[in-house]
Amino acid sequence: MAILSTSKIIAGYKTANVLRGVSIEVEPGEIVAVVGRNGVGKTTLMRTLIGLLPLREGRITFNGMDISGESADRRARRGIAYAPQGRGIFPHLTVQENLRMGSFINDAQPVPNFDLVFGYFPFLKERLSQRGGTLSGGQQAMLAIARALICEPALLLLDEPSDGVQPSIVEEIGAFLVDLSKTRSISVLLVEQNIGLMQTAAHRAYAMDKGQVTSELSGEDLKDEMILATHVVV
Amino acid sequence: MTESLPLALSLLYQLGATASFLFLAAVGLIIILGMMNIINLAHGELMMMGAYVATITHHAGLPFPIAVIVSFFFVAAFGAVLELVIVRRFYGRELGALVVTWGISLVLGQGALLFFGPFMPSIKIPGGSFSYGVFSYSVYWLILMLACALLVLALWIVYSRTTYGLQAKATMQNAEMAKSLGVPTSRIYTLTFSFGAGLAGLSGALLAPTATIAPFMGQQFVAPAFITVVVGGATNVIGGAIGSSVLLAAVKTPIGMALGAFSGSVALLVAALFIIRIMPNGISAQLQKYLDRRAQGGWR
Repeated sequence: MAILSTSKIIAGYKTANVLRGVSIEVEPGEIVAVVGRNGVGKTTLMRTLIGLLPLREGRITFNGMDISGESADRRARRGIAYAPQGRGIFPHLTVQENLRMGSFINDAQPVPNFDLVFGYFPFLKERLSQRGGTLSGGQQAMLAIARALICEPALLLLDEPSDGVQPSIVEEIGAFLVDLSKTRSISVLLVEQNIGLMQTAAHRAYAMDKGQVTSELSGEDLKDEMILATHVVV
Repeated sequence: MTESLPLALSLLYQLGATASFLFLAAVGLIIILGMMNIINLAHGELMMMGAYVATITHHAGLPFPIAVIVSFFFVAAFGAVLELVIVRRFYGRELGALVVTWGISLVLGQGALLFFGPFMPSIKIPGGSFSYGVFSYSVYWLILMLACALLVLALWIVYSRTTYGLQAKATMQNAEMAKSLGVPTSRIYTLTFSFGAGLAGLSGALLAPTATIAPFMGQQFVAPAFITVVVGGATNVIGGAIGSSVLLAAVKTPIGMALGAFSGSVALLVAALFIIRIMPNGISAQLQKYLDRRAQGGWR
């Protein structure tokens, strides 16, 4: 059974529909990328999946349960973790407090697993008392991922982790995602523009245009730079 | 030498009393403003409500400390109802919230006048007074200073050691992010408004023996409360409230003692003007900058 499945979802802002009937599926342990140019609705999809944007039509199921009408906090407590574009780090909370904010995700795992995230991102351990807002962009990206993972959610929604991050850290994030899907049963839905990161981490991808899924890319297609480029480059 | 010790002690006492008054007047307001970005113009009336509850229950036979605690819970419960029924409809619309809380303040003031008449026999100041040198000291004001210290400690525990405190701080900084991490933000708003209202009630009850109990008694607290809040800033709510009440008291007290109470109040306003001009985000923002600098370069 798919961990996440959406059926013809429609959502948007004010009078405009940004998503116009999107249907996707993510299987357990899978890393699925969503690719597409700027403005095709990738971030809107993520915000609708976590529940920050209300669903106008369609259905979202998580682990077989219909969660279409549930609020974002309810969905998070069911085990969906969200690391937004721009990271969403609380600037005036310390690194430790930011990590503790991840402990309300996933009711099934109420105790935050600090060792898990320190294993992947050791620098966090030395900066526990530093304020989140004083970290560099790359460090904030890793903190946002660590916060989302600390209670071992079933599904991670990751929106452009590479945005504004130096290449060496993008590689680190890619390696971490690969390792994560091998060692933990955490599924990832990844919105990305960075071709390298997509090729390293994703098992397959959906290509979006104008609020709809236009094609599905297999693992083979992802290796082909030409196919990828047509979906990502403006 | 024999002359200067009593003077210094008296100055310290006056400073503590003024700072305590400012802190008590401001604390409920600054929690609601800092955490929820709502300018609560009903703050004075919530203090009035606390004073009334304490006065009525005390006259009915409750010991004064119990009456103060009853006031906290009564006004906190009232605040929760206010948030659920009215205030939550105005989040993100600061001017709307301003007008609606002003409306609430009018209803509460007139309501008190209607139900309880223009005045009420006040509570006798507990504790009496004693003198040292030529100066006299009120035991109750010393108790209030202690109460402020306990209140600061309680606030620090709530906002740095509890789950509610963590969730409230996160919600204040980025409500959407907090919500998508599993925080029931609307409950956090209800709790925070209720807590701020309860603190206003508690302060009103604590200050009741020092004031005249009347429907519009809240007005006298509102101006000093707002000045303290603006000077303190919202970066670090508790630190701002403490820093600002102590600093303003440090200006007002010596000038008030030397030139009279009126000059002291003028000095307080002038000082507030200067501080806001130099630190537009308040004392707490300045404090935060200093702490960040220390945290980044500290251990090397």
